[in-house]
Amino acid sequence: MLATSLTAAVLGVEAHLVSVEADSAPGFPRFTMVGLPDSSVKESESRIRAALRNCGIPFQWDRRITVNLAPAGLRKCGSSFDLATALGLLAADGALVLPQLGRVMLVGELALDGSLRPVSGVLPMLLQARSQGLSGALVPAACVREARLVPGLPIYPVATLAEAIALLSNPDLPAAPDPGDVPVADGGAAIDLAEVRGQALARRALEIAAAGGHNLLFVGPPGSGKTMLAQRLPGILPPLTEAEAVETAAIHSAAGLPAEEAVARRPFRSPHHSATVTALVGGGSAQGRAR
Amino acid sequence: MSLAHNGVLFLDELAEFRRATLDTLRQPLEDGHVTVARHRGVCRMPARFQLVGALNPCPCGRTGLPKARCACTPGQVRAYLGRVSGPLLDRIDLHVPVPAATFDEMSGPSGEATAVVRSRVARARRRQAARAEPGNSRCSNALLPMSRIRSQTRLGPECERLLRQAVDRLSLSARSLDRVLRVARTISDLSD
Repeated sequence: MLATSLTAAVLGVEAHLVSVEADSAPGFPRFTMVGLPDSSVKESESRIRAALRNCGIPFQWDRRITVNLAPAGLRKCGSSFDLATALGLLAADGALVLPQLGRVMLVGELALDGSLRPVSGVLPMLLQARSQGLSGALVPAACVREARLVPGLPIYPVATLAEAIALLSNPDLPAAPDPGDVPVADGGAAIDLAEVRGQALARRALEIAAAGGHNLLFVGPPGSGKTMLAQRLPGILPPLTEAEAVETAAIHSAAGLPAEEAVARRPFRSPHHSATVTALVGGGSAQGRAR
Repeated sequence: MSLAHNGVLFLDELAEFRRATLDTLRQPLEDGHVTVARHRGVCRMPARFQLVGALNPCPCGRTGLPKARCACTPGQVRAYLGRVSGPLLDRIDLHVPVPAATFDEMSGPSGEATAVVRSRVARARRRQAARAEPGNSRCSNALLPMSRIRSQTRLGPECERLLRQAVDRLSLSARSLDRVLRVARTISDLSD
C-alpha cells in the first residue's frame, strides 16, 4: 500500500513542503529511502525500527518498503522527518487507519523508546504549513513555544509516537490547545545608555543612527567607550514589529536557537575579528545554516 | 549574519578583520540578503542589519590618549587603516570620533537614559513612516530609494552652497552625497 504524509525541509531560513511517500509491497525484504536523504535522515530506519518495537506496535518489515521524500531533487537533512516517516510507514502497512494523515504537517525526531525529541527550524516549518493551508501540525512537545508565533494554525504538541497515532486516528482533529500569547518585546531592559558618561558627540551620533537606520563607525583609542555605546544601540531602536519578530524568530529557529528570546529585543551580533567567512555568513559543508 | 537581521551587527576592531571577511558585508549592505553557494544550488538568506564598526586610530592604540605618544610610523598607520577598504567606509554613513574621556567626564553625571532617547528615536521614525508609501514597512531614511530621498528633501540656497563646497573640497562621490542627504533628513526628523 501507498501512504503519504507531510513534513518540511528547512533550507537556509525557509521551509519547503516535503511529501513522504511510503510504499509497502510484497517482495524481497528491503528498505530503501530515496529523495536525497543525508546520513541522519537515512538513520531514521534504525530509530523507527527500535521505536516501533519498544512501543509494541506491530509492523511487517519483511516486505519491499520504499520511502520517497518528495521533491526528490531537494536535499533532505536532519532528523525531523522521523515522525512523518514512521506514521507514513504504519499507514502503508495497512494495519492502522489514519484519516488525518496527509492533511497535517508532522515534525519530530524519534527516540528509541518512541518519545519525540525537539528539532530545529520548527517555526519556518509551521509558517510553511500555514501558508500551504494545512489543517494543523504535530510538533514535539518541547517545541510548542514556537507555536505562539504562528496564529491561525492549529498546533498539537505530542510527546510520544503513540500520542501522535491516537491524534491522527480521529476522523476529525480535536481543537488544538491554546499556545499562549506572544511574549511582549521589552526593548532590552538589561543595559542602559545612562551608564555611558560624557561622550556627547558619540551619543548624538548613536541617536541619529538609530533614528534613520544609518550605519556607524566609531573611531577612538581603546577604552573610550566604543563597545559600550554600540551595545546600547538595540535598546534605543524601536521594538520589532510583528512581521519583523516572526521573521527574526524564524531565522533563529532555523539556526537551532531559541526563537522566543529572539523576539524580546532587537538582535545584536558581535563576531570576533578572527571569524572566517563561513562563520560569518553561513553555509559550509552541511545544509546552508543561518549565521 | 542572518542572525543580525532586523538588528545590529557590531564589528569591533574593524582593522583586525581579514579583507575577505569584510568583503562579505558588501552584499548585505547593498541588497539586504546574503547568498550562500551550496553544492546543489544557492541559498538566499535575509541579512538586513545596521552595521556598527569600532576602529582604533592606529595599531598601538595610543593616538588620542591625552598623555600618551603614539609609537607608530605614518606608514604603519596607513597600512593599518588601509585594511578597511574605501568602498566599505563609503557605505558607512556616520564616522564618529570617540575621544578618551577625561577624569571629570568619567566621574561626572550619568547620561540620558535609554528610555528617553528611545522616545525621540520613535518620534523620528514615526515621521519617516508618515512620509513613506503606505504598506511599505522599510521606510527608514537609510533604506529609502534614492529617488525618494531627492524628492523628500528640499534644500534652501544656503544648503545648496554648503553642499557644493563640500563636494568640491572633499571630493565627495555621488554615493557620499546621497548619504549626506539621508543623514540630514534624519537629523531634521529628530529635531523639534
